[in-house]
Amino acid sequence: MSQCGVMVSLAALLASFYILHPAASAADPLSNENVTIDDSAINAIIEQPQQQQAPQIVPKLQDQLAKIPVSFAPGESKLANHKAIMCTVTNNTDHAVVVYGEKAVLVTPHADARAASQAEIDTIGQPPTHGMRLIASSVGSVALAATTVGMYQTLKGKRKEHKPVLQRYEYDEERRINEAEAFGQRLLYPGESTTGKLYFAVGESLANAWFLCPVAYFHEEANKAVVRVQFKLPEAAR
Amino acid sequence: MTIALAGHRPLATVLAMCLALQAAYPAFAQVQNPAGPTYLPPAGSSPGEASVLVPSTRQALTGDMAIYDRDFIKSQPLKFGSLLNIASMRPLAMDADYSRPISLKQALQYGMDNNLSIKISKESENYYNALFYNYLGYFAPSLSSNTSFAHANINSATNTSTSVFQNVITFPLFTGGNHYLFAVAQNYRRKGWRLATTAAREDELLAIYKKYMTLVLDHQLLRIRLKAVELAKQQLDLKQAAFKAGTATLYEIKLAKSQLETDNQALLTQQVATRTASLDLSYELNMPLNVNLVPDNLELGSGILIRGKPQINALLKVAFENRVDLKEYELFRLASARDVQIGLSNLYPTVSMFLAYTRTSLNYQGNASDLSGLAVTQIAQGGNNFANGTATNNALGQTANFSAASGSSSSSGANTSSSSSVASAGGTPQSAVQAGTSVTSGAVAPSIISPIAVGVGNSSNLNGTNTATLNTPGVFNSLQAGLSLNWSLPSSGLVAASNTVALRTLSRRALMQANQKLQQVENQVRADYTNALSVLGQIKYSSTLLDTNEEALRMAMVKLNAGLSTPAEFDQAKSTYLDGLRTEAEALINSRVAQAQLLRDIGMISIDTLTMGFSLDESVRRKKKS
Repeated sequence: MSQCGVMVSLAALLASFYILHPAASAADPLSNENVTIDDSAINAIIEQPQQQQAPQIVPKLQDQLAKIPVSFAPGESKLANHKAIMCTVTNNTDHAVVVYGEKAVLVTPHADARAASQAEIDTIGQPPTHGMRLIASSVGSVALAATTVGMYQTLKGKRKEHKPVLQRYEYDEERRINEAEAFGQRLLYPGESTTGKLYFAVGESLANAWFLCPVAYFHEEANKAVVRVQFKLPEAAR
Repeated sequence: MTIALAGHRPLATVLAMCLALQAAYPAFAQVQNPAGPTYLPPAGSSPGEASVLVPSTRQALTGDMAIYDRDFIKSQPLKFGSLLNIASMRPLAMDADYSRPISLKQALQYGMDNNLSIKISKESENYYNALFYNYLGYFAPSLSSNTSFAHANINSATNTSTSVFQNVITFPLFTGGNHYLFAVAQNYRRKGWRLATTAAREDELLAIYKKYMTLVLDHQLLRIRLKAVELAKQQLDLKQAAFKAGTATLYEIKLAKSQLETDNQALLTQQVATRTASLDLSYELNMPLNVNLVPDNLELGSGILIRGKPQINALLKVAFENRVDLKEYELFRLASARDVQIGLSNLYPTVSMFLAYTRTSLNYQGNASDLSGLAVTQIAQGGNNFANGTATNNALGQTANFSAASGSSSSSGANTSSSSSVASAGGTPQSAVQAGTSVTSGAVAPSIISPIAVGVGNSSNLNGTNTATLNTPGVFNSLQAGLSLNWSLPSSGLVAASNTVALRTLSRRALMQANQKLQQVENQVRADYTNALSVLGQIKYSSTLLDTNEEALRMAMVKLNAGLSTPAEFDQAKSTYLDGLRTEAEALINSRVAQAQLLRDIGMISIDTLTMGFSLDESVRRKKKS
């Protein structure tokens, strides 16, 4: 009875070997049907089963920062009193990473500057919506229309007809374009790279500036770190 | 003894297989993710801590299936990127330039700020606000100023130069009540449109919520599809190994390959569905469409939006008190009722007060006796047409037709009525019939549900004043003040009376529409309530079904590996299990959407209630306190 049970168990273990061996075989088993058994891998599993079942540790993002290279290029600034920087980030880690461009900080020898928020970027090219600016804008347009007997607005509309299609849609389309360009908050899957625009309210040279930007694993915001990179822009951009 | 052993052999074999699978478990993980398995953090792990997973017995039995099963789908976000070799598959790249994580609250807030339907509704509200001030403006006095110059040659012997300058201020005193009623009706309308904007916001909150949930569901389904692909890969690997060991046929390998291709195809379809869901959400939010939105939380477990067990009557009471579209229709009904009185106002006389300053001058060279034949200066003061704008026509005698004012307008077409002119001083009133002067500027009083052809008396207010022919040389200055009463009943008042009857019909229609809305609200709440309860039941059903499917899959895997079943049976079990996962994910999402729909239909939908839930008891308590 007991011998039979042992035999059955041994047979099952043998069967498990068949199950195990593809795991240690070639990286792409689909491409090759003639799989060879990798004895060393099997032995490793057999000899150290407990080690294989040991808890897996997700690497701390702080230790992975070298795998998140960041580079810069000068960009065209649309926001008054702000410098625009095109920022490129690549995710060479094994995890999806969120880059919080909107929370980036520029540290210069003189002062720190936070990246312009989405709300600030959304104001680019937008008409005033309240307060004195709205009144001034309304009075201005009425005065212009009255003095030119409506010709200014008429000619402006006529000119717009000949502009590229997307420029005829004014405010909302402009906001969408600016928002798509802005770095904001982006999700990078492993191996992905992205480029976006960051605005900083700085006037001085960026020669010795440092760029600090928070990053976190997607779905694990607690496991976060800060990318710290020194600016290396062309002289003209400084 | 031997018989007993034989009887227990299959059971012993299964147990042995289980042990073998337990030993084989890490190997499965290696197959799926060559870079090493990435496990989910255990629930309640503190932030920043190394996330670990200690495989339980069940996980050991079923490979890492348990990691992705319904418990985790409901309660734990999966590290999506770690499931695949992303570099080779790029599941979400497609047409998008980059991905952006977005939470439900962010999406709702973004939608409230940028959604185009809300913006369009807001502009309608602004339009009706402006119209309200337009009608308030009718209470202000009307100002008109006219200047005219003329040169005449009489009998080739006498040359004359004449000029007339006139300023008139007219104060409306009584216009049949229509100025006041216009303002009141328009006030109802603008309030109604304000509520229409609120209703648009509520509709959009629900629409965004639904689209966000669809996106979450599609991501969950994508994960399930990914899992299917992984399982198919496992099976292929196993078959290849078995084939090498001589325990499987080439046909079985082909079958496994076919299954893998089928699952890959389903994965691709699901990727497209996921991207489409993201596009739908971006469109609803008025966001750049080249951004791929990814929900930052795929949790489905705690989807209770309406806490407690509210009864239908309580929900109906809340709905009747809070549905903005009910109030909106009520206001439109009131506006329509005021229109009836506006129609009646045409039957009343109008009274106004005026103040006019006139300066005329006449110079001549030649015979003074020729001046008696001078063409008279006519000033048609047809102003004070409040409903249609100011109609002012000036003319200089028979020699010239001079229309100085541009605001000549009339709702009824040509301004052919006779009016009187005022001259500098004394004498007989001049008749200034502007026969045939077509005044069709098209300036129509902006009104949506306004009465048809509701006019205000077209009094010149200058009847009976001292006027004079302009045939006396010299300069004359005059200042006149007076009261004007005008009562005109075009077509014997039949037009105004029938118009009032028509407006009464519209008013009744508005009342019926309000009633229809009330019925609609009750219908919606009752249907939503039933639906929400039914979907909750569906969750229980799908959960039970999934338990069975899970066990069936476990058994199929054990039997397959023990050589007691065919791959087709395992595939069937796998397919059933994955379907069960999908059904449960859909049931959970449907439940949330049903509750959100109920929230909207009882008028309690907001960013707060959609993200933090709603409790009728708490709401009542807050209301009592306030």
